[in-house]
Parts: sequence; structure tokens; C-alpha cells
Amino acid sequence: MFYDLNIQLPDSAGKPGGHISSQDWAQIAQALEQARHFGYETVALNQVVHGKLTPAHLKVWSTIPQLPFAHYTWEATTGNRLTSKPKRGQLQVLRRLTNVLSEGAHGHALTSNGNPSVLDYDLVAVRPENEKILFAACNGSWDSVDIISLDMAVRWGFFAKHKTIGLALQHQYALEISYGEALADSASRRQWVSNASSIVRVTKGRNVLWTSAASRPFGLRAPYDIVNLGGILQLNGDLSKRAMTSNARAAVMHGYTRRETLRAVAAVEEAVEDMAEEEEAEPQRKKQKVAA
Amino acid sequence: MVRFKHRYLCFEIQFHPAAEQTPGHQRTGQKQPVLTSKAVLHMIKDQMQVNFGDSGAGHIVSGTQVKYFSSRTNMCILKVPRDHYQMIWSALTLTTHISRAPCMIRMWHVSGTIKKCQQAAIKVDRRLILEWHRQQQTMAKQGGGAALVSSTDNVLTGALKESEKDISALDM
Repeated sequence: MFYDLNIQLPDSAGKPGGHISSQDWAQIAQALEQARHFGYETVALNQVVHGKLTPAHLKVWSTIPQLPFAHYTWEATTGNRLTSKPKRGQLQVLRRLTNVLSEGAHGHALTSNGNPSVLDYDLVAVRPENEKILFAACNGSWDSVDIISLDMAVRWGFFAKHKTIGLALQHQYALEISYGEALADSASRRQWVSNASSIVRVTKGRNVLWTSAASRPFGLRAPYDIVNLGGILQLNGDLSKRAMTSNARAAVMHGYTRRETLRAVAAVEEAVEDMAEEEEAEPQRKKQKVAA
Repeated sequence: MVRFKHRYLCFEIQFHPAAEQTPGHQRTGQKQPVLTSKAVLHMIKDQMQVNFGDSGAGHIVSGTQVKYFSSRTNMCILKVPRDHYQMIWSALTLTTHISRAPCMIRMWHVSGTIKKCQQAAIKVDRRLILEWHRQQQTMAKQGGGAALVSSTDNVLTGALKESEKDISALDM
């Protein structure tokens, strides 16, 4: 029921053909274990890519070792990824891309016909580095975006305007607030409070997404601790809880409809059973299910 | 006349990732500070000062009290003024270090009476002790010898009773 859609992979994973060192992975594996311990059911591993996304960026995912308690959605072989449910008590792990953009031209890689690699990610976030990119992202210029993630630890140099962010809300993009920056030093925390509360102010608490941005176990906090932390940002308890539950689920579904459906209208599910088995079974199963 | 109202916060200070957590003296290796209830109170006041400045720290000068602290399990029950409990909770969430040891604070229960907090603390304690017992038992089994297994059983019942007695002994 609780989601944490940002467990950060190290910088080395964000390069084409990148890798994760075993020390880094040990920390991340512990963080995943901790997340499960805290009662999160779904987390996303986040690969941060600067500039243009290429298919070579995807290679790092095949190097990630297995964990007994984790269910990697990208390794599901049957059916579509979200319907292959993890076993009880297992942690569902999604993969997420965060594309850091400072030039509008690179954003073309975030359109599904411009770059099919984005379809391999469960979630795609964009981190705009200036106001122009933010506007383009909120405006829906790139159809593969699910999450808009502004850097909470630095001074933006522009205001988050109602007009711009309102467009993002219309497109049902989630706006990420990661609390990792608040757990760093005091200067970063101050900037975090300023930036995060401005996001809460312009969105009135809708479509906000709490994430951890942790890459080690101590960067995580228990869900209800974070719900309470919303109080600092004038985010009330209900909206704060939704930012880790229903809003996060909405973001995951947004990614799903982008990837697996035709213009978000119809989805085709593969028939999972073998033909031989199907003949034995008496009622003819529908091979294709059309979801509205 | 309206009574001055309080909240009771029951939280745990974690120094290791939860997977390595074991209760008491059997705690595995790594160095970590041994805390006292006085140190915990001091830490909270510091954190309020850091996060909410003088006005935040001022709000909790009176009315804040550490009701229970166990240095074995690092469980704490804190009594705070009700008007500011969310502020104090946030300050606890934002804590990353205690005397330079990295740590994390997890809230287990928030309640208007101390009784429910005690019950929550006992429940968490039990779980920690049982987890530790399971680990010990598998270790004993690998080492061989039923005597070792039964001796850990004895320690278990002792530890369970002790923790329950400790926590319920608080005056209400």
C-alpha cells in the first residue's frame, strides 16, 4: 500500500553501459530490505541519466543481482509486467528513469516514437534544470513523462508558477518531493523546506509524490514518519498520506497506460496459458482481454 | 479549568539496519553510543533547536519528559505537550546522527495515554527478542547440542518477562 518510487542507483549506473560496484549494491540491497521492513510494498530503482537517453543506458539493469525478497517487474516473462504479482511478503521493484535536462533538444528522447528505450522503464521522470524545460515538461511536449522531479536541494532561480504547474496537474503528472535532501546538512534542509513548500503551495497538495531518494538504508524513514513530516510543509495528514499511497499508485498506472495501452484506451493482455492446457479446460478462456 | 494535555510518543532509535538488530548485551559487534534517558532528552532539545530554532526549542522546555528508556532495546516513551507533538515528531524524523553515530528514529506509537504506549513498547520488544532468539537457536542448532538450544529457551523466557516487567512498572 505504501510506495517509495525513488531508491537511487549510484552515478556510475547512469552512464551508457554503466555498472554498479558491489559495495554500492550492498547498500542498495540493505535499503530495499529496510524498505520492506518499514512496510513499503512497491519501490522503484532510479537511474539518473544526464542528457540524451540511448539504448546503451539499459544495459545496467541486466547486471543487477537477484534478491530473495524482491520481485523485479522487468524480469517477469509472462503476461504484462504489472499483472504478474509478486508473492506475498515480497517487495515489488520497478525501474525508473530520471532524465536530467538542460536543453530542450534532448527531450525528444522522451517521446515514445523518438526513442523506444523509454518504453522499457516502468516510470519516467524528468528533472528540468531551467524554467523553459519545466514549462515544456509540464506542457506535455514529451509524452513519456510520468513524474516531474525538481531538485529540492538547490536554488531554482525561478518561481514554480500556478500556470506552469497547473498544466502538469492537467496532464496528471506527479510532482516529486524527495525527503532525502532534508536529511542532509542544514543548508540543504533549508533549501528543501523552501522548495518543497512552494510545490505544495502551487499544487494545493494534489499530485504530490513523497519519495526517499535514498541509496543506503539510513536514508529511509517509516511511512507514517513521512506523513507527519508533511506538517512542516503545510501538507495536511490526508494529502500527505495520499502522496505515498494513491498518488504513487496513480503515477505507476500512468506509466502503465503509457507503455502497455493504445492511446490509453485499449490494452491487450497476452494469454498466459499454453494452448494444450487450454483445450483440456472446459470453459473457453478469453485469450484477449480488452480493458477500457 | 481545562487540563493541560499531553501526547505520549513511543519510538525506537536504530543504530544498525533493522536486519542486524538484536536485543541487549548480545548485540553484534559495531560500536554505538550507550544512551541514557538524560541523553535522549538532550538530543531532542538539540534537534528542536536545529530544526525549529529558539521558538521551537522554547515550546518543549516544560512539559517534555522521558518516561521510559531502555538502553538495551533503545525504546523510548516520551511525554510531550499535545500542541507541539507533530513538531517534535518531525524533529525526530529528521535526526540523522546521535553523538556522531549515524542513526534513525522510528515512531512506533502515538497515544493520549501512556498505557497504550506501554503496550506498543512491549509488543515491539517481544518481537525484537523473539527475532534474536530465532537467530540464536539456528546458530545453536548448527553448533549442535540440545543443551544449547534449551539454554537459549531459558534466556528467552527470562528476557521476555524482564522487558514486560520493566515497561509496565512505569507510574501512570
